[in-house]
Amino acid sequence: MIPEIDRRTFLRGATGAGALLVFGGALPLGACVLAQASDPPPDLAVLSPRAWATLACFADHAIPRGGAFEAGASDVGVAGLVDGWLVGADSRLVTDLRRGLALLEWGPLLLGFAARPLTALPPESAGAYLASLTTSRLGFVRQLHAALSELCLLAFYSTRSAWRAIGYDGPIVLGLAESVELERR
Amino acid sequence: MIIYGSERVEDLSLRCDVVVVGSGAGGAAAARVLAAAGAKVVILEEGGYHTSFDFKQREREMLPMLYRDRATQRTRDRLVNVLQGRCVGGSTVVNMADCARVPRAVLEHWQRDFAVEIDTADFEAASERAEAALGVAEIAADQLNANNRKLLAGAEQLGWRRSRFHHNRTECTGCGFCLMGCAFDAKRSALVTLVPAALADGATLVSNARVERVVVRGGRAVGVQGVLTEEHGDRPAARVRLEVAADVVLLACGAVHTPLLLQASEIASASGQIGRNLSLQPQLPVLAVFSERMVSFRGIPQSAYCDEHLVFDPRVGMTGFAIEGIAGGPVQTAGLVGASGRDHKRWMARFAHTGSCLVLVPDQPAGSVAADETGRTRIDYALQPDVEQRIRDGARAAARLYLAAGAEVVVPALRPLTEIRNEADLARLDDVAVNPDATTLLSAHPQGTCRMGEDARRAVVDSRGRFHGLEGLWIADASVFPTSASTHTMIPIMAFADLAARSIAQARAARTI
Repeated sequence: MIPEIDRRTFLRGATGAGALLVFGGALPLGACVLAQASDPPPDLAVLSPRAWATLACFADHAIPRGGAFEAGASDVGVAGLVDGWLVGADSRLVTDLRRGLALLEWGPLLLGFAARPLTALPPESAGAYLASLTTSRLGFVRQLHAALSELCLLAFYSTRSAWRAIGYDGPIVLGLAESVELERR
Repeated sequence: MIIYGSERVEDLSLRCDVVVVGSGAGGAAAARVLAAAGAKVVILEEGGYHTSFDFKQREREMLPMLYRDRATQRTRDRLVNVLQGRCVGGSTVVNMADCARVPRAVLEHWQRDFAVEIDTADFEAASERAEAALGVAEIAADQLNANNRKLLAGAEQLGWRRSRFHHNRTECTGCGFCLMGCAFDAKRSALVTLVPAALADGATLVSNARVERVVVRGGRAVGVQGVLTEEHGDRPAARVRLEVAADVVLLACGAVHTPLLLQASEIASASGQIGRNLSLQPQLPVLAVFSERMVSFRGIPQSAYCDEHLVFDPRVGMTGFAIEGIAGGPVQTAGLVGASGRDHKRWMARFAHTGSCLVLVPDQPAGSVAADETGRTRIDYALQPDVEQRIRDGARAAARLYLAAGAEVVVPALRPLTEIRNEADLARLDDVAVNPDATTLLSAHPQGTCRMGEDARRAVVDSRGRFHGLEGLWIADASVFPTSASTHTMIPIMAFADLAARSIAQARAARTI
C-alpha cells in the first residue's frame, strides 16, 4: 500500500531544501538528463514543473526501461500519473510530498554528493545518488526513498502497458472510457 | 431515506432516538437491530455512498474512493499500514469477507481478566445472528484458487492443521477484486445487507457526514455536530453544517476514530484508557513463485488458512501466528517486493506465477491513537519483541509451507530481498529485522482503544458498550475489545454491536434511557 509521508520528518529534512528552492528557482529547468529531458505535461495539477522533473528522474531510476520487460516509467509518464493521482489528496500529504521532492532535487548539494541538483546530474551519477538514499544514515531520507518508490509503483502498475508485461489481464468491469473506446473500434 | 451529504446545499438538522456514527460492521449491525425495534435511527457516515455500479476494480481509483486516506494510513514510525474503509458499509465493503467468531478461549480471557460480563451463550447467539444476516457459509473446495490450494497442499505435506475460511459471499464470480469493493454484490457487506435492512425499517442514512464532536449537556450525550462535505478528496471540504439531536449517541467509527472523536469532544473516562491499548494484529506478506502459472489475482483471494502455530496462552490470550492465503492486484503486489529497479521488474515479470500469504500475529495491546498538533491522526505502536519474533517464525513457517507445496522461491516482504529456495535458506530469516526500513506490515484489524469491562476504573465502556460515567453515550466497534480478538473482526464486531443495540432497545422499552 502507499505510504503516508510523515510531515514532521519532511519539515525537518526539507528546511535546507526550502532555502535552496529560492536559489533554485533561478536555475533553468530542462537539464533533467535522466528523465530524457522531456517536457512536463501542460496540465500538471499538483506538482510544479521542477517537482515533476525530479519525480520523473526518480521514477526512471525506480522503474527503468529494459530488463525483464521493456516498458519503464518514462514510457507511461509515471510522474504525470502520480500528479493526477494526487488530485484530492490531503493537502498536508501534498505539502509533504512537495517538500520531499525538493529535498530529493537538492539532496546532492545538501548531502555533499555533487555540486548540481538531481535533475542536472548525468544518469550514472543520478543513479548512484538515488541508490545511496536507501542506505542513508538519515531515517527520513530512507523513508523518502521508500515512499516515492511506492508512489511510482502505484502509477506504473496501474497502466495497461505494465499489465501486459506481467501477464495481468486487468479488471473485468470496464470503465466508461474503455467502453467508449471499444465501441469506437 | 438516504440523504446524500455531498449534494446538500443547506444546513441539516435532525432529531432522532439514536444517532449512529459510522456505518461499518458495528454501526450497521446496531442500526439494523435498533430500527427493527422501532427506534428512529439516523446513521452518519463520513465516506460516500458508493454502490457496485461505482466499483471499477482499478486500484488507482478505488483506493481514494473506498479507503481512509487512500489506504496510506500508517503508524507514526511507518511500520504498519493500517487499512480502514471509508464509505457506506465501512471496512465490510473492502475486506476479505472472512467470517470467524471470537475464539472461546479469548472470550473467557476477557471475562476472567477484564471483568467482561458477557454471557458466552449470548455472545454465541449474537454471532449466529450476525452470520445469518450476512449469509455466512464455508468456502467450497471448488472455489479455491491455485494459491489457496497450494497453501493447503503445503500444510498437508507438513502435517499442519489447516482449513477453509467461512465467508459472506453468494454466487461469487471469482473475479478477485474483493479489496476494491464487489462489483457484483456477491460479497454480502453491510452496504447490501445491514444498511438496506435498517433503511427498510425507517432509518435515515446521511453520507459524507463528518462528525466533529459529541454534544454533552447536563451530564449526558444529547447529539452530535459536524459538517456535510464534498464528495471527493481525502479531507473533503465542508459544505454545510450538520446537527443531530438524539436520546442516544452510539459511536461506531472504529478503533482509530472513535477515541479521536471522544478526545475532540473533550469527553474523558475515569479509567484514563481512551485511545490506549491499541492492538493492530499485524500481518507480514510472504510471496512465493511457482513454475506454473498461478493467476492468484483471480478467484477468492483469501479462502484457506493454516493455524497449526496458533496457540492459546491463558495469561495473555491467543499467541503464535496463523498463515492465510491472500492475493492482490499488481499495485499491491509491487509494493511488497523488496527489490528495486530491474531486479524489481524481474520479480514482477513472474506476477502471474506468484502466490502469496499473510502471517497474522495476534498481539498484545501496544499502541495508542491521538490527534497531533495539526489535527492529523497519530497512531503510535511499539512492536513488542515477542511479536517481532513470531513474525520471523511465521515467515519461516510460511516459506517452509510454500516450499513443501513446490514453490521455486519464497520471499517474505522484506528489504533487502531475502530469497528462500530450500530448507537451508530458512536460516537467513533467523535474524532479519522487522522495522520500517525492512518491511511494511499490514493491519486490517485495529482494536482496543476504548476497552470494555465492568470496572469503571479500568474500562471505558461496560460489557454492553455503555460509556462509564456519561449517560446516553455508547460504543459498538472494535475499540471495545480488551485485547486482540485474535481473528478476523467483522463477525465479532457485529456480534458485540448486536448485543449493545439490544441493550439500548431494552432500556428504551423500559424507559430507562
